[in-house]
Formats: sequence, C-alpha cells, structure tokens
Amino acid sequence: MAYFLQLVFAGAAQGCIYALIGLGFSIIFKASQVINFAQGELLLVGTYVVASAVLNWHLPFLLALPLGLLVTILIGLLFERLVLRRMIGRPPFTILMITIGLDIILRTLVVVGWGSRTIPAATPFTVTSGFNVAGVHLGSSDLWTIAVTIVLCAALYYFFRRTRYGLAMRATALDQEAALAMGIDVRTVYALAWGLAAAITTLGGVLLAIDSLAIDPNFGNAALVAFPAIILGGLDSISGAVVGGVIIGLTSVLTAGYESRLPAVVGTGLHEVTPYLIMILILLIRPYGLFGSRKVERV
Amino acid sequence: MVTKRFFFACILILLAGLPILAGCAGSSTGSSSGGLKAGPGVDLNKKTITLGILSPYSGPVAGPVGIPIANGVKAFFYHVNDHGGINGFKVQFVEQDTQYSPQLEVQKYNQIRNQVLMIADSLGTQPTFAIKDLAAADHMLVSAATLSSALAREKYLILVGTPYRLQVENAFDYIVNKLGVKNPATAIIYQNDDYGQDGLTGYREAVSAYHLHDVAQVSFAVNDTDFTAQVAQLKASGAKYVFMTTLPTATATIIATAYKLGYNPQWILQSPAFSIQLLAVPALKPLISRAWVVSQGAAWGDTSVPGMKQMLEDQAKYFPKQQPDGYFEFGYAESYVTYAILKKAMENGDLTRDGLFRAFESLQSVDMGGLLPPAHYGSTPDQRVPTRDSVIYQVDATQPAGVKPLSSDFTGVAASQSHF
Repeated sequence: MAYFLQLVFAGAAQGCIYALIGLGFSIIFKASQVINFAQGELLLVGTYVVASAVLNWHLPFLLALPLGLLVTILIGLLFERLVLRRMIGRPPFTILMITIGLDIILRTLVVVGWGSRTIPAATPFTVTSGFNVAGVHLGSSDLWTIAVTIVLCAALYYFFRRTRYGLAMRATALDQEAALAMGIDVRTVYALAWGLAAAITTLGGVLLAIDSLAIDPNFGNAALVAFPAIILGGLDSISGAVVGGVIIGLTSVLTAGYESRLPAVVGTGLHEVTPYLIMILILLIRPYGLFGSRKVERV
Repeated sequence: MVTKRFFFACILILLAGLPILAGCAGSSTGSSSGGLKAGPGVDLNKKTITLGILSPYSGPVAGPVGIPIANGVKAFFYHVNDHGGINGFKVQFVEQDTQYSPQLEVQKYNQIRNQVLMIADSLGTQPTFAIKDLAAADHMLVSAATLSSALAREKYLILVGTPYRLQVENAFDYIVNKLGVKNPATAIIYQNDDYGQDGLTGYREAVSAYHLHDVAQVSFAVNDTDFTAQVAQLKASGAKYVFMTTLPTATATIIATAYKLGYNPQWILQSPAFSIQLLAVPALKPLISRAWVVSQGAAWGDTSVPGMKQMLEDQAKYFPKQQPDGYFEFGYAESYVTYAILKKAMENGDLTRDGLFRAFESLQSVDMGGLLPPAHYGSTPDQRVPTRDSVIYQVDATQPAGVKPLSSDFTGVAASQSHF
C-alpha cells in the first residue's frame, strides 16, 4: 500500500508540474488562438536565470525566483509587442511558425550564454527535506509543487471570474471583434496573456528543476510532455489543463511503477506511451477534450 | 530555329546529367604521386590529410562528452602536425555538429563524405548506428566513440575500449570474485534505447554467469524527468547493488530520488553515466561519492603511464581551458589507432580508403601509450572487440578526474568468454 501511495503522491506532484506548464499553453491559446511552441524555451531561460542568480550571483532563492519570472515575462511581453502584434489577422500557421523560430532563438541564447554543459539547478531544499507518513516520503519540493499549483489555480479562477482584466480576457477569447466594440483593449489582453503564461510556465520549470538537481539546454523539452495533458483537457480550457496534467502525471508514474509486473513484451516502456493512449481514447469520446469548447459554425 | 520543345529537351538532358557529373566528381578524387596512391581527403600537392569529426558541439551531450572527446582527438593530431606530421603530411579536420541526433549525423556525414579520408571521431551509439551502412558503402573507416558491442561487428567501424556489455559483466565479477559476495541481490536501471539494451544484455549474461540474485530490471525513457516509480521499484525489490546504464543528468536525478526515498544501495555506474560535472552539483556531491564507476584506462595525471605526460603537455598547449576529463583522455587515446592506420597506410603507399582498411586489418595490436590498454583487432566479430578489461573506480571529488581506482585492470570470467 505504501508503494502505491508513494506513486500516487509522486504522480500528483508530477501532474502539477504538467498542469503549470499546460496552463501557459492554454492561457495564450485562449486569448489569441495561438499554440506557443516556444513555451518550453521560456521555461528553460527562466530556470537558467534562477540557477545563475542563486549559484553565481549568490542571491537567495526567494529573490532569484522573481528575477527569473521577470526575465521571462519581459521576453513574453517583448515578443508579443514587437512581433505578434504585427501578425494580428494573419493565418494561425504563420504565427505558429514564428513561435517555433522564437523557440530556436531562445535555446541558442541559452547555449551561447551558459554553454551546453549540465549546470546545478537552484533549490531551496535539501534532497531529503520533507517527512514520512506511513512509509510514504512526502518531499518538500513535491509538497510545494502541489501547494503552489492549488493556490495558483484558485488565484486564476478569481482572476478570470472577478477581475476586470480577467473578464476582458474571457471576452476577447469568445469574440475578438465584439470585445473591441465593447471598448476592450485587445492588445493589452494579448500582452497580459503572454506575460502571465511565461510566468506560470517558468514557475513549473523551476519546480521541476528542484527535483532534477541539474539542468541542461534540453530541459525545455519537458514542455512537450505536458502537451498531451492540455490536448486531453481541452486546449482552450484552464481547468482542463490542470485536470489533464494531473491525469497524465498519475497515469505515467503509476504505469512506470507497475509495468515491470507485466510481460516484458507489453510492459517495457509502457509508461512512455500511456499519456498518448489516454489522450487518443479521450479524444475519440470527446473530440474537444474533457473541458474544451465545442465550436459550432453556421453553414 | 530552336523550338521550345528542343530547348526544354536540352535543359532536361542537362539537369539529368548534372547528378552523374557530380557523382563522377565525387568519386574521381583518387590520384597518385611519387608512388603514393591517394583517395578523397588527401591533397598530395599540399601534403594534407583531411579527417572528419562528427560530434555533438551543442545539446546536452556536447559539454560533458562530445567536446572533450573532440578536443582530445585534435590535441593528438596538433601535436603530430607540430612534429613534422605523418611522413610530412599534416592532418586537418572537418568538424560537424551532430547534436547527438542520428538524423543530423546522417545529414552531416553526407555533407563531408567526399571531403574526408576517414572519420576520426563519431560520437554516440545511435548516431553511429545511423551512418554505419553509409560508411560501409563508401568504404569509409569510422573511429567510433561508442562502446556498443553491437557495433563491434561492423567491418568499417573501429571501437576503442571495452564494450558496455562487458563493463557490466566485469562489475559483477568484481563483486562476486574480488569482493567475495555470494548471490548478491542485484538490479539494473537502464534507459530504453540501444545503449541501455547493451547494458541490459551484459547484465543478463552476468546474472547467469555469476549466479546473481536478480531482483529488478527497470527501464526509463530518455525524456523522463521523474524517476520515483523506477526508484520505488528498486527499493521494493531490495537490491543491494544497482547497475546504472544511464547518462549523467538521469544519474543525478535517480540517485537523488533514491536518497529522498531512503534507499541507498551500492550504485555502479556504466562509464557514460558519470561525468565530473556531477560533482559540481552541491546537493549531489555527497550522495554520489559512494558510487562506483566501471571504466578503464590510466587515471588523469598518473605520469607513471608513458603516454600521460605527453597528453598533459598537449592539453595544456592546445586546450588550456580543458579541465581534467576522462573523455578528453578517451579522444586522445582513440587517436593512437587512427594515427597507426594512417602511418601504416602511408608505409604501404596507399592512402585511399581501401588502403586504409587494409592497413587497419594488418595492425593486429595498437599501443595507446598506456592511456588505455593495448587494442587488438582481427577480422571476425569476436576479434573486433578491442579490449575486454575494466577498472572499478570510486567516485572521489578530491581526484583530478573525480574518480580513484578501487581495483587493478582486470578481465572477468564472463567478459573473457562472451561471444558477439
């Protein structure tokens, strides 16, 4: 039982990381219908900045973290202001290709700036910090990851339901032209979405790096693992990203934990494909994902 | 009057003929002068030999492995060049960044195949797998910086060092025969690719040969970021000795996760699983210091080994920023074989690719200045395994290369009898 609970705890924490990264994708898609393929590299830059701030500039972790968030928010805002704003009205495919370009530029900047070597990740915890309950180790980093995700989800819920800018973002997502007619500054909404998404994704990356101990320029690939989560949750759904992330995290870790008990021909590497199998299964039943909006067009 | 149809026909014929002409240009690089036959990559007038390096210069494998090995190769030949070259011929390099990607490796190989006499360094099991058939078709010798036993069978690939599979067998020989542990509870954690499969093959052979109490064989995906499930399995299995066929970043996370879960077995690292850079991670340093590494060769700075003094001088002269590093040493040692082939081919008066292959087959044994044990090459797959010995090292942050030997150089029973 302790074995199972340990896996559930690890899966939930891993799922929260996917949820945070997935939230970044969803917020941008919801506001501007753009899938940002540079999300992983925003995470990468933020994590490297936090690591450098702690290890090279000797800042406390709690100061380094906002610095990392600030850098990626600035990148997100600048990219939106200088590039994407000029692309409003262009085909989504063009914008998608531009985000791939940003992805390559950011990764190259990291290699040029920090080199391609593995570097230590910044962590406020010792490896063993946490406590044991009934044979299950509850690590500090995992507990913090779960807590941060819950608080952030509550804050986002409040933001989208109760604040002026949150409502503006929802209105823009529903109908851009109607939002403009109602006097909503769509450009500000886009900028807000990019800044918010960059910050949340970076937070996910920093929390993931704490457990990894070391990071390298491929660290941004973690964002790709979050992709099935947002697809199965529904690309334009904030709550879908969270639920999808947790489902993927749990199934991935639980499958990895039990796959060795299956015959080798089935079990070996099963956890690698499980997220995609679940995604396909759910999309077959609900083509727009668990919480995605069904689009109806008049023809 | 030239009709449109005639004009387009001429264009078509010209376009169809271009690849043929290009192919002729590519393959007609053979020439001879003063009794010396030369192939692609050899300029008899300028007296230069061009060799290829296909290595990751960017990406996660570049810093810990790719760049140090390539530096070792270059340092060796810069020294050769500064001391008159090979019979007056200077060696130069065409270097390509493969990013450790098989697709890029093929692309880069095709870019340089007509410019080089042989590949002096192709890094990685999967990238080298990707070009082995192309190299065979081109009769191109490839010095492969990989220890995959599956690649030892390939006619045009030159391996230097004991294959992964035999490293695993030697590790368990050490535990059973040197330390006298009977029926130890053992496990392996391996990444799910060709490199991992080679480690797993060796592990299974070791289980049978040494009557190990195998309690777990756990795999993970190259892109996995969380290893709780794998480590929980190892912990639940009660394995006392866990072999790791991993790469450094995964090594760090696995050992840290195990420590977090209160699991502290004897970790045994396959040679690529360790990098001295892991010791720069403050939280990891005390955790990894109990681990062993299976590798071979002289410890960095051990000047009792004949080739060490020269290597250190060359490193200081040509790559002063290079830190002490086993991979640099590997690249340098690997180049002894390339040099021996070129020298032999030169003596035979045949610097073509086929001439190089004949020279390689006639080498039999190459002394690598003690940096690695002498390599032996024959023509059957079993004889193409250059060495079968290993040294067990303890991770030790106080040592220049981060390890100190626990055992002398030895070949275990299973490794000496293993057939490929």
